[in-house]
Amino acid sequence: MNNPNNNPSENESLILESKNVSFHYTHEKEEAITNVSFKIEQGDFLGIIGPNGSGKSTLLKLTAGILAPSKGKVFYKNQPIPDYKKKDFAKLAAWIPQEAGMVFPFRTEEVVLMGRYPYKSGFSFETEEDLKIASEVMELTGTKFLFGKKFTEISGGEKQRVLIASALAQKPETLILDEPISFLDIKYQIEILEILRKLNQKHSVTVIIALHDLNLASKYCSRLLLLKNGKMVREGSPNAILEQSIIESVYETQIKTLIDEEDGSSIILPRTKNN
Amino acid sequence: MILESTGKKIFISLGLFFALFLSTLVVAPMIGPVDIDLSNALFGENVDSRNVDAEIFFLARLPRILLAAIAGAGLAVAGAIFQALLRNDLAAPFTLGVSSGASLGAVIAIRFLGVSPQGFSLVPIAAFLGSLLAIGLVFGIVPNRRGELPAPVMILAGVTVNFFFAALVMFIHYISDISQSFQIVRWLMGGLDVTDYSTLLCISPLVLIGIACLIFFSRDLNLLSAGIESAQSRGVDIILVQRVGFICASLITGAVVSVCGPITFLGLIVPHIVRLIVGPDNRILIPASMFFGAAFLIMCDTVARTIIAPAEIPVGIITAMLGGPFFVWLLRKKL
Repeated sequence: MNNPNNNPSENESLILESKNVSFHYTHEKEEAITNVSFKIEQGDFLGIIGPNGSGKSTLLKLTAGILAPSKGKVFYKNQPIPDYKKKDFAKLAAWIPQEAGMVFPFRTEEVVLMGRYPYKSGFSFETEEDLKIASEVMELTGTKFLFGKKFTEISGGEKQRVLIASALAQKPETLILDEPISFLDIKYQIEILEILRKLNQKHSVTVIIALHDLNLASKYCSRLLLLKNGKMVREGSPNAILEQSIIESVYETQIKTLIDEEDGSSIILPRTKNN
Repeated sequence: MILESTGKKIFISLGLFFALFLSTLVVAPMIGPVDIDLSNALFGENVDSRNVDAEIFFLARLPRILLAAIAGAGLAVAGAIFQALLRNDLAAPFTLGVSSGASLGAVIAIRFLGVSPQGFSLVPIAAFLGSLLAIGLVFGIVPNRRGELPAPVMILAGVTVNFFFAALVMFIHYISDISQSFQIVRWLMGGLDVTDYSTLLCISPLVLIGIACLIFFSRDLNLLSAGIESAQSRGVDIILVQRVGFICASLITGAVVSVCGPITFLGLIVPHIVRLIVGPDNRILIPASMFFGAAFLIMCDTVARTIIAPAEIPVGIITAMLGGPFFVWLLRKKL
């Protein structure tokens, strides 16, 4: 089930392409992203990994069109992202933040319905169709039981699932997630990754996800992109990326790599220093 | 699970707030230190100085109550907008320095300008110009290279402008004589006592157009209040919405403050009360705050007019006296 061979086939299956993209935050000396190029095909489950501060979030925001590259271009289906109308692009790709800095007590279903924004204009209320779609995506993400609850009062794992439902209400073909599981315990981590796997395999949603946990990245992603200091170190199948020498040099830590006999995925174990 | 359209909810909740507003609007003109004969006021033969009832009703009470409605509606909506845009539920119409700018304009007019050659007071005009100056300063300091208005920087800039202008106000106050000083103190308390129909006509269009504009953008404001980057990723034109929001809310505040002085707390507490009742959806919150703000200020002003009659208390004192305890309650509830 792991590591399908990604032979870049016809150009039609090309979803997203980053060409020599660099990005520079206004007040910082160094570039956050330097000359990164990669391609994402329809149906990919691409994990972006790298140490803290390596530029994972920035790269995701560039692919989601939230930030514009200072050099290079990001193409979505062969068209530069700025050439799309903002709302039209939001119907194709949805971005999910690590944490929703929600101050006001919106109810979960109101948060989900915000995902219908790209389909609305001016002052209007939800149509029957919007409500039907919201109901469907809450079913799909197992969040129906949260109906009527305030988003500010539910748990971290529930919040992430509501945010995913909200993104799905945009009816996107690509989901871009910024470390959605970093603050969750393992039960919720698996729960969310399973939802994403289901979306990826059954609903052919392309997934781009930044992850901290290398072992979960290894188990769920079809490809990995490894970043360090804003530069792409390597890209390829999880087993090719999670090699001892590569990970040790990028993360500056002693590790060993094992293979999980059940699914053949690579597992990273830390080497402790007390021997 | 039944998902309901917000559209259905809005008519029920808005209907209630509108009914409250309407009833205060009808009842308030009948309350006052002098009892009036309503039928004589409305249907009496003379509508001039010989009809005392009509004079009290139409010249003393009605314009003042209408001004209270406009000012209350404006400040409440501006408060709701600042809270949404700054994603901070302690934000208020005066957070960005609008009232301190208006105060500075007013005290300059009181100390140095006095009355215009035509005989009308220059204070409201100077106050409005002062509020524009404050808005201009904040918008001059804050925007980053992409034209965005980051909320924490906005708040800091607003607080700084507030302190700076407050210092200037104190300085001018200090060098004023006794009668000017009294006028200044009185202005800074906020009140609705200098009203005729012309002031009402001056500020109403600005306030009402501003509110209409903000209601039009209320869905965008919802997304913005839930997170800038999420809103951006969904296609909200955040720069446009922030601009429209801040400018409308600031102009509404400036218009109200230039006539009524800094009426405190209303802009903070009314959106909170309304949010507790109807939730944070700006499509309902803004119009409901408009009605409730109007009703609330009419009620406060009725208290201010009558509680120590025949003398009056500045309405700013009443709103703050009701607002202070409420604010404490709100904070305790949040802890």
